[in-house]
Amino acid sequence: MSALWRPPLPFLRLIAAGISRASQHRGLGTPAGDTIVIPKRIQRSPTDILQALAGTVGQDTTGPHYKYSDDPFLSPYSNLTKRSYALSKESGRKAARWIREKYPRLFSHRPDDPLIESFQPKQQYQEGEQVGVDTLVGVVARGEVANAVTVYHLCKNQGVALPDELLQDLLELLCFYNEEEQVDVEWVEERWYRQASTTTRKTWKDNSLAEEVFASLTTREPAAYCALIRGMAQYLQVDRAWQLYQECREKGIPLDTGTHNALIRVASFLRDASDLRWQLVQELLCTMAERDVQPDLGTLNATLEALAQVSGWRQARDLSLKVLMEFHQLGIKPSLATYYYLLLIHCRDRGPRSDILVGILDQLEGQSFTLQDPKDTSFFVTAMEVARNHLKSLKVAERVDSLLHLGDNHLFIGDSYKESVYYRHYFALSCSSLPIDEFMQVYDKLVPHIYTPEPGIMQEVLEAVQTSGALHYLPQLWSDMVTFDHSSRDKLVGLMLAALTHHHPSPDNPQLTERLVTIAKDIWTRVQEQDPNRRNRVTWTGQMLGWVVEVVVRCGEYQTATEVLQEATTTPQAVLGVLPAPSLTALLSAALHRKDTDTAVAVVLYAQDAGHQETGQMAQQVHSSLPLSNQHLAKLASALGRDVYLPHDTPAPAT
Amino acid sequence: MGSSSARSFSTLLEFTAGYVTSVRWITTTGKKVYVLDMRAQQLLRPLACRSLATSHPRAEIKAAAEEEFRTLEIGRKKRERFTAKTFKPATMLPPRYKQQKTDQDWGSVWPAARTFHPATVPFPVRQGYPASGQPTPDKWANAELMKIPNFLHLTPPVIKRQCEALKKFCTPWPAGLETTAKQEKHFPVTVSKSSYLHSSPTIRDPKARIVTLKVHLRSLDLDYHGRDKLLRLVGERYDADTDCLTLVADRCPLSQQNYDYCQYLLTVLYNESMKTEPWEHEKELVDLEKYVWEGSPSQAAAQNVVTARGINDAEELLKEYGQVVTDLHNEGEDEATVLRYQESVMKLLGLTDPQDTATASEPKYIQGERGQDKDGWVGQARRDWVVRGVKLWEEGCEGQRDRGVLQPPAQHHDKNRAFALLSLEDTSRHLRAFQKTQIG
Repeated sequence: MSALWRPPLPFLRLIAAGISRASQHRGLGTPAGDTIVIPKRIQRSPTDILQALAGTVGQDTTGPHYKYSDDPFLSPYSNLTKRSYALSKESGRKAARWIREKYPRLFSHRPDDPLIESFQPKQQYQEGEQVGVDTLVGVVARGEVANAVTVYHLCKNQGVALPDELLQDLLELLCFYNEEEQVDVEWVEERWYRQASTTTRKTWKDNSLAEEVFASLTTREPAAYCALIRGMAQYLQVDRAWQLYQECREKGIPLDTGTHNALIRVASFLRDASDLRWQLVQELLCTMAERDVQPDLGTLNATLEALAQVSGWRQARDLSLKVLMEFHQLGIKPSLATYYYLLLIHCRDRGPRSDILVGILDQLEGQSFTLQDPKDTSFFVTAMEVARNHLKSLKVAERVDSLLHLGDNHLFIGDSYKESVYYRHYFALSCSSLPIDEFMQVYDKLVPHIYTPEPGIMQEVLEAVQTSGALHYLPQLWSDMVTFDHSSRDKLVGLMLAALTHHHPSPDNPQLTERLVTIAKDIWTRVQEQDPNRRNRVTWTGQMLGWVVEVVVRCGEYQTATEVLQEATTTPQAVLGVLPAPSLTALLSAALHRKDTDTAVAVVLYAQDAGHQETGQMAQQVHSSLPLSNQHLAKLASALGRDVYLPHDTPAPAT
Repeated sequence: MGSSSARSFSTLLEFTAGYVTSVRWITTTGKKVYVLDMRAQQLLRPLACRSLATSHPRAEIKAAAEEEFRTLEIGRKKRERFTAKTFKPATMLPPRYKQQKTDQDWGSVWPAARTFHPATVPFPVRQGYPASGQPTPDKWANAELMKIPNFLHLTPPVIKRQCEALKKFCTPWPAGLETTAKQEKHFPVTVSKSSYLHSSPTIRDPKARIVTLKVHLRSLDLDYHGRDKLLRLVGERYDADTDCLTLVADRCPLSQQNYDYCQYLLTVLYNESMKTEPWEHEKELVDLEKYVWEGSPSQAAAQNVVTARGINDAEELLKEYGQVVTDLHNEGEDEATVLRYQESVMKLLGLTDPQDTATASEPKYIQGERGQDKDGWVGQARRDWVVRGVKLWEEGCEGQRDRGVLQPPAQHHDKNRAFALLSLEDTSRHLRAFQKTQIG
């Protein structure tokens, strides 16, 4: 049976197609009186079912992100491990990709059917290779910038005639990417952790291939001018972009909306004073109107961006609202980027307080968004910052947060940097506004898998715990600090110790006492055992040691206190400053209580070395409470000399 | 090089000794030798020669300098104490099930199929073969739990939620197709094929080409001849129990081609069946698709009996007998047909059992002592009896009268039971006796 064969009588196909015409045909009897209407299949894309199923899965705050292994041993907790685990995983993929690119002949097994082009090694073009127009078409269509440049040169050397349409495509590619290869879309983590470039200097390559291609065009269509002006404006070669624009105006070449948008965006680079800049923007907008170029969302955002760059200008706020109103009348719906620029204009650090965010939230609440502008991703982080620093309102912050977690809106969080900034603001605001118990609920929800507090935020948390006296959270905080690599930071360790000293043991809370003293001992052993070659490590200060002594003595861990004192006495160079007098007094009274003469004398000697005024008092206390051996007396006498009055029945200090 | 160059070097050393204090030599192989104090070197000459013969001289000299104050080691050399590096336990948080709340959304914690993990699953589950005196192994590091597939991602609430999410892709069930009968009436043909989805780079699977078409014969508009011919054409593809014709096509590489081929087959089968070819009239008795009583030896024999007995209104009797014999052949021998046949034969022959009149007409399963099964030896015996009985009559029973008489056992009121309990031989003898008494 050949594949081209067709059945002569396909009458049953009608039945299979769902049309009840069987009765009209000889063969299938049973006349059907009523017609059956089979509903049309609901159209769906190949991933719609998957997306619908994924939509049923909510956020899981107790586990790590799905890119990590869900295992206590393998989950990252600190920001550093989160970053390195994610990038390491991707690095493995990159290594595999590199091997494939380097040795393509090793991969002859091709089980894929139909051929998956992204699984194939990328073609590399060498000098002297035979290329044609089709090669360049393919390379440009796939957006391979470096290959496009090579193939273009090869074509030129081999005298291949390139049509103008192809050159136009090539020009657009080169202008859009500024002749630089982009990070592959597949490297999700690399793009996620990459620092967004915020350069405000010219990066356009002058006299580059793009300009060469532009010059080589036989007929310069308006599209070619548009591509070049847009590229120059995007990479801040503003002067030449403006020149080209003027040239177009003179020659009467029509430019499209995108080109005008690009020029509006860089208007502030062309003029100095705020009003002049705005004048230029207005000119451009008027030109658009004159030439009947329809504005779009890009025009709105570009105009507002130009205004945001002069947000210090008095009229900027009024003008921004006017612009918004005008575009609203044109029927252009703002995107998140529009609101982002509005926030930049209205909520300035030193400006007057503006409640525009509340109005924006009123408008946006309950909506899901689609990406329309690259700056859309900046809205949420800016809104949270405004809620924290400008409005100082947790209520607004929570509204922003609930908007973020509605539907797929969380995709607008941007990149890792924006995400951490967003949560930092939210977390800090919660810390300062909520009662400690409620705040700790937020803490449990976000930490450590969604957000790892930075040292500064951890400091605020510790201070809040200390202020509210909720010391029972300290064990949890300390174990988190250890996992987040905060245990080697002087300031945080000091704060933790200071918080511990606020604990007063009583028979009601023996468990808490035990847990807190465990923290103090853990800090002591951790700092003592830290690697001497480590760069940033905790340096003991007298105050910190004093706190350690105070805590352990108060909670009954006398042995540790003597260790601390010994350390302070034997290696005073490792300790900055001296132990404060109250800690020494506490240790001394504990020693007296236990009749530990050695320690008591050591305390007095240390106090004398440290130059505390209480030394004399301490010595007398020791002398009166404990029977001292001659050796001890001699030590005391040699250290204290005549400064201290000792009762008469003691041997006179050696002179 | 080797010994010859070493020898030349030593002779040279002897030659220059006492004349120079410091000499720089370049040997035949180009290696440089620094000789600082020739007198001292004289003493160390054997060593120097060895050095040239073996390795780089500078290294050797340096080694010699280091070895100058070697200590004499007596006995075994002490091994350095090897201290294992102490590994600090990794800092990690407690297993996450401790943070999980009791009202958490499990579908978000375990959204897709994955291997069991004790830190994530909050309940204390045990699995595996316990060591003696030990409890069943718990969930930690339990390979048995990891091996088996779990359905923790398909809890009832999750299934419900997913069904809700998928509802938007479903169209309502068409009106008028509520029952199976209606569906069959409007859509008599069922076409089925399978799609395969593997996690591999290829989307091809050879099994995807197979297409199965099913249709009930009752849906096809067939006459008697057409149906008979169709059944002869399709052979085993027809299932009499379900009245279903199944066509499977897998000869073409694509499922679409196979589907077309199935349709073609059905079309051709139908049209061929409805045709009557000239040679079909040459059908003989053996070619008949079923038993036809009219004109058969059985009819003739029955007619003989009727004539012999001199019954006047035999039409109905013969018709009934004919129907019963037809059923026996066409439906096969089973309890019902055989019993009916028995009744009919007895009626035809005018045999009546006064004890039996009430029970004989209705079929009965025989509860024998040795077998519960109706198709066991009891049924076989019964059938045997019937066959023998028929044969007796068809051969003519006149000559059998002189045979010995065996009275039926008095205790066996139920005739069926009586036959069931007798052996085959007994059965036939009993029958003969029975007949004799009746006819005689």
